[in-house]
Amino acid sequence: MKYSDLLYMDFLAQKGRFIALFAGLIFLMGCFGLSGVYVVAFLGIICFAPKAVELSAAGNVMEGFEDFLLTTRFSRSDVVRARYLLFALSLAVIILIGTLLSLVMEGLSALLIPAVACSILYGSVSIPICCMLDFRMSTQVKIGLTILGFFQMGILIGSIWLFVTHSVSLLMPGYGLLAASLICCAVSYLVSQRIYAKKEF
Amino acid sequence: MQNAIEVHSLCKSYEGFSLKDVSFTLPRGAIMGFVGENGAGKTTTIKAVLGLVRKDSGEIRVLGNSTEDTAVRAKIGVVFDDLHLHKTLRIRQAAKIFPHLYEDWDAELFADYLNRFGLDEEKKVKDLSRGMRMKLSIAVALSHHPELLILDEPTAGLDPVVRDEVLEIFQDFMQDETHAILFSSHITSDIDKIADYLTFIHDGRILFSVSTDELLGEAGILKCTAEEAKAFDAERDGLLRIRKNQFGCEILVKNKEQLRMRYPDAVIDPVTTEALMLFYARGDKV
Repeated sequence: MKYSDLLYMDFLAQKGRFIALFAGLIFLMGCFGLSGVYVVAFLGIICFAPKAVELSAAGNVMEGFEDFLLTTRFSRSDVVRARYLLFALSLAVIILIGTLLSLVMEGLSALLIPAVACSILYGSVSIPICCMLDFRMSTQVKIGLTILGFFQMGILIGSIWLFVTHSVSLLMPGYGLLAASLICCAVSYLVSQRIYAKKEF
Repeated sequence: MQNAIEVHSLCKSYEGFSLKDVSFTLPRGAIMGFVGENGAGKTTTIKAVLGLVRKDSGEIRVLGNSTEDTAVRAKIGVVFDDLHLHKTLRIRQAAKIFPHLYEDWDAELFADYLNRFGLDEEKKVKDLSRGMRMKLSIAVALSHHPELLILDEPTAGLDPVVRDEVLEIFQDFMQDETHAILFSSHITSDIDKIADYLTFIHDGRILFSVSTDELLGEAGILKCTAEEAKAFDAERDGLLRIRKNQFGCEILVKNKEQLRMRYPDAVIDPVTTEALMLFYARGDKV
């Protein structure tokens, strides 16, 4: 698959950044773990999984790279597919970590589905914005996306608190939310393809 | 044999600038110099040919097909006005990426170009001078056996010795008669050295696209005073553009030999691409 080549190339070009991102997240998790709030760290990591796409070369972090890329064997469609594939891979890694952690942490498995659903929703918004703006993304947009990440984390923590203290199930167990997020992601993919097909470099 | 590039009636509008009815044809086996002042539309035209900007109307065919076709793009080597690679990569690391970008990547040929250009594989992209970055771009463009080179200011930032070497490499590339080069540059002496065709764009319009033999061989610059200039007939004598200065005036003439036969004492110099640019960009119609 051509777009997996693109991701491999992306990793070669940016492996330092990816390693730093994941090492940083694991370090944070360790710090929170020492203070007994693993859950917050875990939710934070899941919420920010789509950040990998914003960091990636496929996400065009530098001016002119896409111009060059699109003169090679990669089509516009390949670039968009690579971004969603990278998002899916980031989520898969985090779900794997979450599943392993849930073996030792009681109750974490119940959080996994709504947290993943929130992350997919965040990615469904941020990836089309990446496709539209890429390196031209202003600080305000970056801050906006980060606030959106914290906002969804807040909703998650709030819903967990309601679930634990009042047995009110807003997002739990979250299968409906997961289904809705997957639909949003499919729509987001189509929107990104459309944006990217019309994009000028 | 099909043409390497065919552009017919290309139009593209932006706020404050537009390409208007741009048409030219680059046959295989030829080098086309694409000239015009800054902001004339060279890079926009090149990007439209590469499919990086969407045309409003017109038709573009590259190697007989659209550049949307990735199989066509695989046969094109492109050099932009700067190298767009990750700044933290070493050339050695970048060399591992290129085989993923180009199916026909020739690692040996790339190593050969690095050696020829004196590029140190251990250097990071961010530590390369502009000239070095251009050399690396050219090495990348040539190392996947392209049939067509599209070069946007490839010799910018290079010293005269390296420029000469690069031009020689382009001429070597043209040993295969099915190859072609579209070459935009401000360094008109480079165009004069290697171009078979000259396409001049001004304010988004193509003013002419002709063979350099025809254009530079036939055209000339008539030097005279403003008083003497009145004696010439613009239509009959083929006077195209005029530039006046404190010493008199210079007139671009269509056919210097015909004018010389008519006026044996007239001072008529050969024309260069740079002079042509100046006549069309800063001169007046006769």
